[in-house]
Amino acid sequence: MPTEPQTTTLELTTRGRVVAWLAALAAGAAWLGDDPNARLAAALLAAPLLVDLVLRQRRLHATEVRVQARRCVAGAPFTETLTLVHHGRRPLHEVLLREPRTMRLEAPALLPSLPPGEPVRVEVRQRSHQRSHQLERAFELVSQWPLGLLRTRAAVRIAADLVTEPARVPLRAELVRAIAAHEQAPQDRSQLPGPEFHSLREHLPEEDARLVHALRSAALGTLVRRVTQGRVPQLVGIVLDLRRPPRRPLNQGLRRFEWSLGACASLLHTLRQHGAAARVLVLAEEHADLLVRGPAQELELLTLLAEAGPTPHRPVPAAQFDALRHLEHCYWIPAGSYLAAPEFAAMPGEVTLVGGDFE
Amino acid sequence: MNGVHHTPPLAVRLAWLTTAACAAIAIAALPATMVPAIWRCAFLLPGVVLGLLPGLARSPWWRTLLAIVLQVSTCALALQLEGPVTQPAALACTILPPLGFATARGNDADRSLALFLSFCMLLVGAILAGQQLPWIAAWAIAACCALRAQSHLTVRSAGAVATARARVPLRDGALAALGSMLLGGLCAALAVDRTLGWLPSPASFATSRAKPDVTAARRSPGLDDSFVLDGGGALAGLGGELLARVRDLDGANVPPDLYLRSGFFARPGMDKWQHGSVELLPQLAGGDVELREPQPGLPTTRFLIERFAGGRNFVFVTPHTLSVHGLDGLAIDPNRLWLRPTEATSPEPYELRCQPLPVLGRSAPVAYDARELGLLTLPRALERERWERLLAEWNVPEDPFAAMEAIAAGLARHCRYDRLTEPSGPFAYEVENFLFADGEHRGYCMHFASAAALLLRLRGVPCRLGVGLHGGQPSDQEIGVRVYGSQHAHAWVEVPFDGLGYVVFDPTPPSERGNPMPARDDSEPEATPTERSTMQAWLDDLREQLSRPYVPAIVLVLALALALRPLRRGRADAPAQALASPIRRARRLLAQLLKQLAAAGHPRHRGQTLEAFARTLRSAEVLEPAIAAAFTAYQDVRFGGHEFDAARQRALQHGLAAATDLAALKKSPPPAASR
Repeated sequence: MPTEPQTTTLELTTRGRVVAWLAALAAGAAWLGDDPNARLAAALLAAPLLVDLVLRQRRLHATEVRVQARRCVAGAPFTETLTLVHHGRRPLHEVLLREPRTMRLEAPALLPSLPPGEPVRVEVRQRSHQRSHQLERAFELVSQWPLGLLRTRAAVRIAADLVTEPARVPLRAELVRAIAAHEQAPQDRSQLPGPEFHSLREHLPEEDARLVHALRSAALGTLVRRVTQGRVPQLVGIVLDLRRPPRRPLNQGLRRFEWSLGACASLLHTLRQHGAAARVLVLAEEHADLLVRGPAQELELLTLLAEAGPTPHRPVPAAQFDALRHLEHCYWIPAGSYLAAPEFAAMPGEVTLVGGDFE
Repeated sequence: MNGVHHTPPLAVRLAWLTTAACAAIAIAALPATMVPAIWRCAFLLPGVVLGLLPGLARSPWWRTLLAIVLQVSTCALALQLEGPVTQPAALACTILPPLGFATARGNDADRSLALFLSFCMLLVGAILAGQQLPWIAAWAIAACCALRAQSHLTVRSAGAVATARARVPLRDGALAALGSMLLGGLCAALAVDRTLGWLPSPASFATSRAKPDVTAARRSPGLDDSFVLDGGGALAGLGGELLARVRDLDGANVPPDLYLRSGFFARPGMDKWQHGSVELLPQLAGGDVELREPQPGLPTTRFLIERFAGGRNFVFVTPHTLSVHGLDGLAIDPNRLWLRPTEATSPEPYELRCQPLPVLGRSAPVAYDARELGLLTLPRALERERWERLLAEWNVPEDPFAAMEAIAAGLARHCRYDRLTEPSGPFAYEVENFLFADGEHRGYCMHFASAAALLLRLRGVPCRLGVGLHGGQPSDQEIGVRVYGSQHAHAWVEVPFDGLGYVVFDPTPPSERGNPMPARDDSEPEATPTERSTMQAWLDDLREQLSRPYVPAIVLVLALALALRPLRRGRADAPAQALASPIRRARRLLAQLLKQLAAAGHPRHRGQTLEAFARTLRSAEVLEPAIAAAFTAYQDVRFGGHEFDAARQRALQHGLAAATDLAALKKSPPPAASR
């Protein structure tokens, strides 16, 4: 990963500012009044400033930062491993390392010493709060060595891949069960091998004894029966509508937007856990149609979600929904708050609205 | 886990130790004679106690009261044990309580404050006792170490050590870096001091323009540093502080014309008199000091002399002292009748026995053998011709008594006593300006005494300058006792007589003797007759304005305010913009509504959206239509971009009313219907 060199800036700390002002006042008084005590005061105040100025940390920007590509969930903490190599002539002392984007609330990492040419491995705790896909990461190096009156600062930018996926949101159980078959036998036994086991409960006297679990009953000493639920279909459709309603500005409804993207990610994860695949149609400026069968497609979709943003309203041709027409169940996620979309009304089959109760 | 985030106790301890060292060095650099150890402890102790024991009083008011009580008690005790201190010393000691408090408490912000206060203390010590390089260098080294330790602590507090090792070992070159910091700091301080001293200053510019013939520093006649009584520490400027108290042990009133000599100057100079050679002998152990034999038939007066503050550096004797009792460890010059205290001399009061001299007749023999004592030498720069002309003009004979009379009369006629003006004119030396410059010849006791002594020596009369205290004022607390302060410093001429010691010849006009000199003021003296250029006038005015006491205070406050103003952050880091006021109003109403619902037993959980909360209320069958409408109205304003108009405000208020009714219902349920 190439390092873009930046400059190292120098600034006074709060303490340094106070000392500098006092030194200037004392020097002015000494010059005007030719007073030896004022000269002494100016000398004692100016001396540490001069020492700090001479011995300050130089060429902070000549530090190379290496980091791997990273995927994370918005708001979730993660530990990032960085490798720093300082290419200056002198070692750096007491350097604080921070990435402003991901370490806003975290303490910066303190590097007691950075010898020149020697890689130093650093683990820092980070948290990316905002869903995004960053191609460049900026790290800030700050040092107040030696006396804390002057602060040297450098920003090191590197090309790196940081994908912040939408934050997962808890979904209501009925949202998933809405597309699952009931507890009775499935309709199409050729496709579904049987109902999905859910849990055990005590057998009631008036119920059918054929569903009693013999082995567990013997083990527990009481009659227990299986509770099954309908198996999730193999392929489920998801329509993620990023369009804003007509004549509505783009900078509104952002809370629903973020929630909807998180709901889409959570829903996808849940479906994949149940062994289902998803056909995701993203309605945006450029529509996207993805078939998510495996982890790679899931990552691709999540990356798309990380980069998504509200788009202005535009009608969608009916042909765009062809891939979803034969699906029994679909989810419609109005991320852009366009609840009255005619395309939603025209959807065949069973369509479950995700996030409708926001309205 | 992001490294180890804790502040090691060793770093904290080191930071505290270095700060305490700075404070200790600064306090130790105070002159012991002006600020005795008891007074230092008296001022330090309350601050230290309050800093070490913060739990003594929790409330700030009680803490203040406790601080006042402690401070007053310790000061009263110190006053009882040690006596008063000079006014500047007392002012300097006011820094000690906050210094002790900040050093003892040792919090993060306290360390910086303690370092700054120790710096102020060091400066005060330099002002009081002069710049003492060892103490200054020691403080500079300690301050450098303290800054380093505090910077290290700040960084350790701000960041978490992210490398594998939790300990931060000393790296190669760390000691060398510390050494270079210390050495660099000392060199930098020296360089800045020298540079500022080399730069031409408006003060020296104004002074040099006033005396075009003088290229060196200003020359003052008379005493070294203008009434510095041979012990360091300028008395000038210490307006009004007590130096000595004299009491007649026989109950009589102390005479107002008593001369208390503390020193003398025998070697003349046109600008500066010096002691000349002395032959000091140690005092015999356990013995009193006998200076001369008493005259038979004359009464002996016994004075008890108490010395205070800077007065403890001297032994005050009257010109006709017989003996001194109660002091030990003195250094004595019997020929010159001079007593000098040493480190072994206690500051206790002592008894002085003296015998007033009879009226001297004109036949009283002057001790001409005083030539061996150097009492007839004249300065090399003296232009005899001019001085002889003056003596001739005043008809000063060679007879000692007549000479003294003539000189006194001539000075009274020729010169004017002025406490504030120093002679100026075309001559290089002030004493010559005092006698020979055109215009009014103004000066004070120092000029009168110096001129008189030189004139007497020109007439072959041996003499010397005596300095000390004269006049004094009656004590407010005791009758018959006189107190002397630095404003009673005086100079006169002493002529040796055989068998009588040194007799006082005071050439200062009698009406001006005994009047207290006002405190030496650093402000500009009265305008001299010489014309000043516009530039010089401007610089003089500027200096006068800048020397006002409030000007540096105002500038310092402004500087601190500018220095501590908050940093401006970049736009990218700016926090989210504050909610607009209509949304704030809506939020306020919603908060009240939710509070009432919580009081009614339906609290909204943290992180629960309004929609989810509405579902919860609906399932509990308490979701009134007004409350639902209020939620909708709020969401429209907060997220829907709608205005908080009157209709939505009404909706929120109606919802609030409904929630209030629910809460009231919860508190007092309706009575059960009776049959």
